[in-house]
Amino acid sequence: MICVQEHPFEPAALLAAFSHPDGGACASFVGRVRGGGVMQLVLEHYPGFTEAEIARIEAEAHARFDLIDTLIVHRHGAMRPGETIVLTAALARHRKDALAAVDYLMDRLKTEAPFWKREITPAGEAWIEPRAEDYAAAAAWERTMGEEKA
Amino acid sequence: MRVLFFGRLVEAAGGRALSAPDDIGTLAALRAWLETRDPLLAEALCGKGVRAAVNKVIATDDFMALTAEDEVAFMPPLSGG
Repeated sequence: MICVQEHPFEPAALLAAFSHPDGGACASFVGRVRGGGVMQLVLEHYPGFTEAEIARIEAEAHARFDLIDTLIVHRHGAMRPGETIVLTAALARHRKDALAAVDYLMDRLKTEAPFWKREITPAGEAWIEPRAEDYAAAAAWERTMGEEKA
Repeated sequence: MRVLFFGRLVEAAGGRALSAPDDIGTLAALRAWLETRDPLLAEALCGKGVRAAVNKVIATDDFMALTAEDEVAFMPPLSGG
């Protein structure tokens, strides 16, 4: 399930409801706005396109790992330090699939999810783009995919 | 047709959206029209990682079937999470 929304969410409540009789393994990640001088983070998105791209990434996670269900909640709009930005969670029979799927989803979302981030600090505004490490992490999944197929 | 800009491209375009002539039929022609209107914007649209979408589907520069009802979006590199 995918939710792209402006209003804040409470990860604990969403995770408490995220279960399945066969889902012995549940893994999750919560991303929050960092402090350290940031007053506000503003995320733009492209309604319709953003959800479709996240759905594509989610489908690829399901093709790659043996999963029962996934949950992706991603906010857009203005957020303050400490607030949640993103929640990804995966339910599987076994922990390896659940843990790897959450790692995979976050690496893909960091570089491919259609949001544009603007950080507002006392010094002004700046656009945020993925770091080299983010691109490397996403690329590493491509390489291991190649090895799995070989 | 409607042309949308996202992220830092909004600054280069001077706004979120503009109207392009209905008779523009290809992405290449759209870029050429934007170049005549605003060379700096056209240059920004050629930047690394900038992608175009037609009706919310990624399109390459050789896209040939634009119509007056289409929505074209130019997007700089993405940053989710």
